[in-house]
Amino acid sequence: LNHPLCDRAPLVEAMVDGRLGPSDHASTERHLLTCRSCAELARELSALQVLLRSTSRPILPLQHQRARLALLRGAAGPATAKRRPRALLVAVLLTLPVAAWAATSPLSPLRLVDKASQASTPSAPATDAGRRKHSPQPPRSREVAAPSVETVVPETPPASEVPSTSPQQEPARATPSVSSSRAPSGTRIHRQTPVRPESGASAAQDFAEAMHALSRGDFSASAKQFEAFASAHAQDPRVEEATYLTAIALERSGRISDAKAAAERYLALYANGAHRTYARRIVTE
Amino acid sequence: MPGVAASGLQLVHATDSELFAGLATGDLGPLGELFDRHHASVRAFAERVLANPADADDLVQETFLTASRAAASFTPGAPAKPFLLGIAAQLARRKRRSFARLRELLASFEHAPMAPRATPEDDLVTGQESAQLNAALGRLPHRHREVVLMVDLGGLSGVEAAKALGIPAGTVWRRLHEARVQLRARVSRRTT
Repeated sequence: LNHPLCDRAPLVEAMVDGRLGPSDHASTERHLLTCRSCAELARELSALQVLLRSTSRPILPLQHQRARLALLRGAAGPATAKRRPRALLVAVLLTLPVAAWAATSPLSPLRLVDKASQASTPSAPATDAGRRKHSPQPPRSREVAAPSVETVVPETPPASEVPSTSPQQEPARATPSVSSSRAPSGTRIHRQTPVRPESGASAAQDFAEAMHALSRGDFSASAKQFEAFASAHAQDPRVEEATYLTAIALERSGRISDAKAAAERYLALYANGAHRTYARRIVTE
Repeated sequence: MPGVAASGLQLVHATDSELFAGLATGDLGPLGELFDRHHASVRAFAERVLANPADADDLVQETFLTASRAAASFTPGAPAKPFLLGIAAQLARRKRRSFARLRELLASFEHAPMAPRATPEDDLVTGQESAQLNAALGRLPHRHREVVLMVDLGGLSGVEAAKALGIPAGTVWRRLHEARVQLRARVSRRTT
């Protein structure tokens, strides 16, 4: 670019791209013999192509084979990947009758709550209808198979959800705990997330600390922090990242078998997740 | 028998068109052969077209998976590379949008050792000039980058690139010219 551009420079670029007809091509080639700036331009354009192609990193045979295997598995595997959501749907459908029973049966403790609420406040049915949907099924919100979460701890509903004017509020307050601990009996172990007003800020801070540990190379601590994050903030949108990064941090800390288990956990939860390819690689390595 | 698809196609000797035709019938055998032939080109494109080269593995895999599903739309007799790079470019555009949040989140992570490129060893291997070129490519607007990569790296003609990207050929030439001006300026300025 240190040379003044000739009027015929566009023709030189067109020639390099093979856009010129035979006669224009020939005349431009002749022009290159006499015009220093156009000759320099042609050299630079060719050099750019050579440089671009020469910077391609060679792919190791092992890397190629892994990618090939992953591709063929992916091509043959959509059936298994789709089966998981279907299984989840079946599980949801199976739990619905239990939820319906809990909401409608005269024997259901939840029924008592409804009656108590309806008797106390006219606006309560809407609130209770919402709770009826959610109370027996909080387990469906997010499955976490982390070893640290093995028990269901029914949360006492926040005070705002319980009509405070009802004289029968004491028995009513206890019933959601009963129904929510009963619902998961036929399903997998689930966890409930405590509703904390500071959970947003706390989640961001926890995630940032785990990321910081990862970037400074403290992989062991980072793995623990990401795992704790996924357990403590199950509703947070970053849980998928945290689950994946747990596997990465474990892999880097040299705990390969733990890393594989974590990667498998990621794949089980997010069969079509953004990091499935690398997670599969960790599992198969 | 290795090298023979379920349809009886001799994979190694088959043309790209025959492989795509086999794929279109639901036979996945030809997919591995297509991957062997073209994955290097797709990968070279993917590594440079994405802002985060760590996503290249995913993009390569998604490109070939999409190609296998779209095999019926492959024009018999046409070269495979424009078809594959066209798919890769479309997926990369989509990835840019859907992964914008993710990239933000992993911004610090990209500088961790996981990033597959831009290590000092790589710079030594590929040379300082190449590292500068990669940096200059990274600064190009995406629409310029994909065009220059298709033509100057992938070896596609402007018409093939235009067809693959679904834009007029004149737009390809214009973007190509602008991209080259910027690349030459940045690479030559830093080497002088």
